[in-house]
Amino acid sequence: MKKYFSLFILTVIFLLLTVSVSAAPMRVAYIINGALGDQSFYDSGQRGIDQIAEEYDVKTTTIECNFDTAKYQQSLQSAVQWNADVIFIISYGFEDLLKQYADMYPDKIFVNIDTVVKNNQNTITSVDFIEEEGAFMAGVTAAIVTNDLTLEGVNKEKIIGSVGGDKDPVIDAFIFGYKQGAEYIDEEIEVKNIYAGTWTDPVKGKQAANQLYSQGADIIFQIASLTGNGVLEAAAENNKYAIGVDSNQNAMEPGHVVTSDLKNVGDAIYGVYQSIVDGSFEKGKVLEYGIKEGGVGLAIDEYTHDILSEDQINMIQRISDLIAKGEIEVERYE
Amino acid sequence: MKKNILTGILGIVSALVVGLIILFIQGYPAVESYRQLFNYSILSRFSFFSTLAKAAPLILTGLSAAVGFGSNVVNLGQVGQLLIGAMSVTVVGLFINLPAVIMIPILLLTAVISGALYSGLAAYLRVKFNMDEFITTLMLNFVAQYFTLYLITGPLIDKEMNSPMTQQINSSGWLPMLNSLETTIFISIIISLLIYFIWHNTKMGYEWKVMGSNNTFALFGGVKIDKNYVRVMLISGALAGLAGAMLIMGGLQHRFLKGIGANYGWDGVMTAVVANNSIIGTVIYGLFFAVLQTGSMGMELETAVPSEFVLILQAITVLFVVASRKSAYLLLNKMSIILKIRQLRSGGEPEENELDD
Repeated sequence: MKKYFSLFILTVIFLLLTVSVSAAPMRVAYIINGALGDQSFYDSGQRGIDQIAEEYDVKTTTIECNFDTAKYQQSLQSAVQWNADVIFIISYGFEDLLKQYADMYPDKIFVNIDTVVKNNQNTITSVDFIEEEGAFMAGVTAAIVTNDLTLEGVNKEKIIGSVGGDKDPVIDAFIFGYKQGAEYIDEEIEVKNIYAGTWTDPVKGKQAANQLYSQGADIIFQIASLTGNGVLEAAAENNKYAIGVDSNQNAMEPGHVVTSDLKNVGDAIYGVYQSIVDGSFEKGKVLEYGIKEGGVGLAIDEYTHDILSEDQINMIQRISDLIAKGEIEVERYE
Repeated sequence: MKKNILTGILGIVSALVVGLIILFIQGYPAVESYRQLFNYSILSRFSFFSTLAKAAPLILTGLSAAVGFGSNVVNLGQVGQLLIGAMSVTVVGLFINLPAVIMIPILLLTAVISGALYSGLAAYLRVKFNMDEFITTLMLNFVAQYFTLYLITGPLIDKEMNSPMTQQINSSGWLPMLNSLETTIFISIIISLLIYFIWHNTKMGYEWKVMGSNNTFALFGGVKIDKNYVRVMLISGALAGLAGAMLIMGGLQHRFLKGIGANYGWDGVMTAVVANNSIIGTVIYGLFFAVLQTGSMGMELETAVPSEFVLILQAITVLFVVASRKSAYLLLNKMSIILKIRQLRSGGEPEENELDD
């Protein structure tokens, strides 16, 4: 009898264990170095978190550091204390902290977004976007615009511009891809770039854009989160063109934002979460999202159709397909 | 002294009560939010330690402002002096590697000297050209901000990293951790005691206090204003520079990264103003603001109160403490006057010591 009883207990414990192991995560945290409301990068990720909250029975939270270095460690510490099971994190500026926290808490799932971060125990999963491919398509579009003299406001000079937030490897990858795309259409095109030095100041973005427009640029690719909203505004005021970034920003200045180079952070976050739930998730991997995977690409909608002709849009789409098939190889930065 | 502490505590309590009412009106679970605020800042070991870590630089910038304001020296350059201190520590820490026993004192000394030199610049301009330090220190903040930004995006940038920052300083310059407690807080406390001693127990400190209450009186009393002015300015800058060293040598990152100064400089000024330039008060309010700032995120996580609410709470505290200090002072004066009038009316002679009050 005693033997059966202990067997029974063992089975119960075993069952409980398996249930608790296979149970889906209950708490999901989204830690960002910046702040929501940029209508671009950070908001794109938030859409993924919202989708998770909607479709699964989980608690989600977003911790905004607002570029305040004093909050970086606190954000990780609070998320751990909050008992988050999965932490999606945009860790610009505190990669060191992320590594140490991931080493300290190997049971938690850390998913780093947009860059590759590796800790000693290799438990951090990185979601890396192939910016070069999306930016290549932005470059293609910019080249088509600056070469089309029938478009209102386009001058003879073959100059296109870009406004970056900070000089960092991701932004430089964008610019690298942008140049390749422009040169793919026309080798004579000159690309001018300005780093605004901030991600949160639309006024600085506007200044930078005005400067580029007065230097003869017809179209500017903004790669600067909230700062970039000033670029879009400047495009409307100068009656020129701009390309949005990360989220679909075409509707922000209708008739002036030709297209947006999407970075589907939200889709990626949602995808990773799905893989965690269905069990196919593996820690420590680098997941790459390019045009083929739908991680990056252009947002072409009615606002684009209002500016570009059918032929031009078809051409853009053809080139995008060629990249997805691997027939055009976009060189990677570094 | 007792009056000060009383009005201080009253200020904090009434600010917390007003905050509670605001939360309640906004429809948040007010009491639970406060509980979480303290839960995430003092009620567990880790959160208490991170509050202390946050308080360490805050106390130092607070002392920097308190020593200045208390001596009638308006040093508003904590932001710049902190950055210059932090940058000097970083540069020395990157290029020199000695055993920790020597390395740590060298780095601390570097911060002290560089911070003092940077505020000394403003002091020099004042003494030589009679330029108001109020303006010069404020302007020098921008110089420090852009100069350090240039260094971390140019010559000192770590190309491996994804945003502008320098490499880690040599590990011999890292301040040790005691069971995950950062030792920066001990440095802050020792420095606070030292400043307290100078302020209250030396002739120099006495002269500063006299300068603080009335410059002209100090001059007639035989205090060498210029000499003391420069001294105060140098010490004030040194304290802010040391706060910068805490940010590099303490913590986990040990790099100079973009925006590393955060808001420590201005929070320090705020702390000193609230504490009415008292040294102990600065330490206490420094801890209090550190508690609020550390707990804010936990409050946001648990009860969805935006962490910015803490900024409101800080502002209310400042208003209440500063306002109640004035009104309490007025009220006490009024009461003593009424007492005296009554005594005179009843025909009795007013007591000597009350007249002096």
